Amino acid sequence: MLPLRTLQKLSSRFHSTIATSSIDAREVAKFGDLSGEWADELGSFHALHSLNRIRVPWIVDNVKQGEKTSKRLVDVGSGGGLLSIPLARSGFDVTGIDATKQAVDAARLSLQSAPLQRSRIAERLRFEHTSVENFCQKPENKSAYDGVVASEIIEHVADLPGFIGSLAELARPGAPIFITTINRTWASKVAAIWLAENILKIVPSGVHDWEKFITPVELTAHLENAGCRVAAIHGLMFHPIGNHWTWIESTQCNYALLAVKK
Amino acid sequence: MKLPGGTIICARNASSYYDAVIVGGGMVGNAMACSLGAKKSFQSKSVLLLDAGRSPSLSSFESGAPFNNRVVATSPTSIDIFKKLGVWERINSHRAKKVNRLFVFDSCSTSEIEFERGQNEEVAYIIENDLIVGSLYEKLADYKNVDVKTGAKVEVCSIPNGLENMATIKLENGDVIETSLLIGADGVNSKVRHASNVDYTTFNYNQHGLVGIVNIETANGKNETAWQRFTTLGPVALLPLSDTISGLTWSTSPEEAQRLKQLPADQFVDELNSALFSQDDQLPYVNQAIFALNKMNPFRTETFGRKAEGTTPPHIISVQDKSRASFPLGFGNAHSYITTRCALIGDAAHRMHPLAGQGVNLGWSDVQILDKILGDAVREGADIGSITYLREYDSAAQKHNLPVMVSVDLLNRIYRTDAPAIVAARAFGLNAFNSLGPVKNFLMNYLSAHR
Repeated sequence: MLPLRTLQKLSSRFHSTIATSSIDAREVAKFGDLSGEWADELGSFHALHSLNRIRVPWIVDNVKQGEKTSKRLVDVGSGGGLLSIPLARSGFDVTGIDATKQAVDAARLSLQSAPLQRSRIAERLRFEHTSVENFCQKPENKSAYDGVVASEIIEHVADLPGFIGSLAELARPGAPIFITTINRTWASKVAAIWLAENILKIVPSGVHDWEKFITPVELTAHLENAGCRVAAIHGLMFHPIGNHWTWIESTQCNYALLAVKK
Repeated sequence: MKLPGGTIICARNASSYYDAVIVGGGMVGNAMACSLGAKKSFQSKSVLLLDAGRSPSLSSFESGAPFNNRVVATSPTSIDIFKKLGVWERINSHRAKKVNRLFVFDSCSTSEIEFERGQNEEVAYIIENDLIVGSLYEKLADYKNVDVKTGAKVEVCSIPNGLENMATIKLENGDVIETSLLIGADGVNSKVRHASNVDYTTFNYNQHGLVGIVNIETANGKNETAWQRFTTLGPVALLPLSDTISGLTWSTSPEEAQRLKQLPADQFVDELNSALFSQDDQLPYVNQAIFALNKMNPFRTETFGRKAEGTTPPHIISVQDKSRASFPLGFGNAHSYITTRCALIGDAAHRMHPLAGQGVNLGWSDVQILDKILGDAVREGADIGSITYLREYDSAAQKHNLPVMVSVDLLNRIYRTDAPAIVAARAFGLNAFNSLGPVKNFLMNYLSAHR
């Protein structure tokens, strides 16, 4: 009952071309299934869930918490909300944006779940179906965020310089920008594509395109062009046995980059 | 409740929400509440402690007031937990008796084992249960993030299969409470454990524990040794409460416990002294063998020149009025201490024979482990009811508790017989163990480890 009404409202707000009546129960049920998959700690997205165990403290430690009001974060490429929700739990006011409508619907559906509603975490969490370019055009979003997060997303975008420029526009001066992604090296070709997709099946096959991976040097150049200073780059390593991540020195495969908007 | 349309409706039985709800206001439940109350990462979370009774007032533990018959041997590790929780001063300023020596002996042979620490170190402190509960409860008033409901009897709990739903607790007065994490600290017959549907192994020892408060007399006027004598019906332990008073824990058959409880005081004292001193069950050939072995053992230094307190327990002079009570003894362990949105701690998760005085100490160890992993969960932005984290509590707590529980169970079994072969085996084992100073020190340090 509740999800159906919510979806009807959402569809009328963002997709005015679709008549409210065209929503059918099967679609709702499908979104429900998808939502379950995003939230399943041991399902397809288990490596992203376990990545929270180090990326959430990394973000929390680098955004100074507000005295009275919650600090505002934008999570670009929020998917099913599996990073946005933990960040909201940690006390931030979080806006998650994603270009995939199904993912945003799934995230919104999970906002209606009892645990997020009853703990009132849902009050400081919202999801928008939009591109980062459109989102940062809105005057209320320009230089409006105390932290910008783009985790495991930049390897999926078409126009990287434009994307990075938009991230920088969202951050207020002095605010941190958090990026995690995969380096373009032989090591990542073996580990992130061949091992992860074909052998260990950590991520669905075909989810990553090695050509689109970005080296730390390229990323640093884009950020500097966008008026940001790179503060730190650390390597990340996934341990398939035990499903956990650790910080490492080498940035040959996965890495995390912290930049600051000048 | 606010619906998407913006209408506000007021439900008749409005339910309340807490991030964590602890069911059970005993020694372990109160310690859990204090631990979360003091926790920095929990300052923005809400915690509720549901106490079926009402907490004891600390004024009944001033010096001179009669001792309560339920006492615990609190290990050095647990004392450290109390210090960390900021309640140790409160407990110690009332009355906690330091014990620096533990002496274990056998009614069937002269074998014995002695654990001793230096003058300033303790083997344990003997403290009344209710003094611990009262001190922790008072401390809770300092914490804004912890609410307490006294006289709150749980009617039924429900625990969801997945994180998309909440755990709910319905009280007998009709109140409904929802929570992200239900912590069961509600003892042996835990309602939370029943609701969680975890497998539970349990059996009875066909023994009852008889407790009481006795007045005693020692040779040097000091009472700093905890004594335990194994008899064929079960161990008898004297735990010092003051220089002239000790707490008694006497494990025996249910029939004996019933009979002893109802005996006139003077007859009870006679029987207790006999249980502590009788030589009727001694097996002379085992003793001769031990004597011979001791003479040959180069490590054994303390054969000559016994310590002042010696090797005989104090004489019982009298038993305090109405201090005798008894309860059945059993073993129990939940195969898993957790499910999604639920964690069991203390006796709700595990129960053991009181002969080593470890039961509640294991409960406080649970509190410490659960407290740590909940801190990790909050720091990492996770749902505190998530099984990813709770599973770490389960595996660490089981790993810590099971070896202790199984060893104590085994001890109880091998000492409940007077079959000569087993008496000889345990006598030689204990005797050899007592003689090997380095091995004994290692074990003593292991048991009070994690400091």
